[in-house]
Amino acid sequence: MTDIWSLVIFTLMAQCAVGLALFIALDRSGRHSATGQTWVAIVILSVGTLISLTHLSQPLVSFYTISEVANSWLSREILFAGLFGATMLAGALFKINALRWLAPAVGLAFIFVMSSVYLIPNQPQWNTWLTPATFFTTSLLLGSAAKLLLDVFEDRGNPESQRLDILGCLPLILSLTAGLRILLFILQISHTQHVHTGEEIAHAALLMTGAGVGLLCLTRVAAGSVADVLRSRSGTACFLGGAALIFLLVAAAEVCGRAVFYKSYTFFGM
Amino acid sequence: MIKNPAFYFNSELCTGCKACMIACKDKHNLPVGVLWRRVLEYSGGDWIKVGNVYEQNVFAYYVSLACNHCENPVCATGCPTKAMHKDENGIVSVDGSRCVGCRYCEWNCPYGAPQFNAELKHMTKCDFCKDYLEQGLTPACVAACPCRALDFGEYEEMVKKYGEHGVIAPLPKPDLTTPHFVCAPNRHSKPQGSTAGIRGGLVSNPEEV
Repeated sequence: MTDIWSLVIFTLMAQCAVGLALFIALDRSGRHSATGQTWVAIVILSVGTLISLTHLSQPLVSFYTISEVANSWLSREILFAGLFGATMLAGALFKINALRWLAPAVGLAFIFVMSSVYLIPNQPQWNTWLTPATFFTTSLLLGSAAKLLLDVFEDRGNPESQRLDILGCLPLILSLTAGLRILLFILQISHTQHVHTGEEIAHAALLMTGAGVGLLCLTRVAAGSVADVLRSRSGTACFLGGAALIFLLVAAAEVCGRAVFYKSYTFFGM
Repeated sequence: MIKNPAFYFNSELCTGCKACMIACKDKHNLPVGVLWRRVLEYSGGDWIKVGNVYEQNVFAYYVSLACNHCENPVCATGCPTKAMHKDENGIVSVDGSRCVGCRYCEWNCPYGAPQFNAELKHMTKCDFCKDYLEQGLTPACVAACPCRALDFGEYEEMVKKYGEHGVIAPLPKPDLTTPHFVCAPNRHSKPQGSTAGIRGGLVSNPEEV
């Protein structure tokens, strides 16, 4: 089995970039910089892609990897990673409105192709609808958490805007997708015969905590119970800290979950 | 040189001595951990109550397995660089200069044939002793077998001589890759997919293979 950590980091960062691109396209508030946030998505994708090279023993010949697009899902994955990066880059550089939806559309196709890489008959624990469902849900979860963090960061110094960020759809989407992710995770571990108890518990606990913090922010702000904090200077830092905490929790949860996914690899029934 | 070569294996004759495995390692100078041919042990059994007494139904048999140079080599179709390919003689081969070492072929192959060689920094696998075949010689594993449990030849000839695939545990379903492998079952053989093994139907010598 390959070194799983570079694959864990690559798949999660790529899925985060796709989710972020999607939520950037959906953001109609006009309070945030689509270009600036797209650059962040590009950096996330680029760093993830560079890290993915570390699991190759001969990265210098990695240009060959797009030579089998007609046959190999792995080749298609690499092609779509490039296409997704290129559409985001074009959108950020030329600010063409038509590219606003093209990048997330290519990104979603990229997630589909990425999940197809793992639909291998020889790995029955991966060869199930749960794999694409998990990859798409992870993309929404990490993307919404990253978008919330970027929105709150951009609105630092403006508690009212931050309040609107927290009261927007993102924490709700985040909590719902975290719930869905937990459900998928339970189905996934019931599908595999391997035991990874520590990581599984950490994964579920972190997911639930992340979702819980998201819901807590939403309900407390909606109820106006933190109005006093909002009026103070430390109010913005409080929101930024909360959004950062949510992102870190769901990211840590996803790292655990993805590690469990890769460790369920089986070699000749062993 | 023969086209579409295939291995024949007779489980009834195999004693599990692993001479084939060692001959392969020796011939190809394979490092520790890289096994192009492996001898799988499949064993199991239990105590069963018959009337007022308990009887045992213990069994064990071996399957000597290398790359089966499949008709549909999923290791090659999944390879993103075409490093893994079926050559003009029907031998599934690795072009080391194109292999990036992503090990996707290892995930795909149901026989665990492609193996990563850390010294060479790329995937390696059974090449059917191509150099020997070109000289009209017998592959090292076949020549080394003291029980004559292994044979080789063109796939169609092997089928004609020994019959179709014997699908026994712990081999995977042949319809996945259509292996060029003809296996004569052991008298204790369990059917493919059997979970009669002592570890829940798994190979019982995982440390050795």
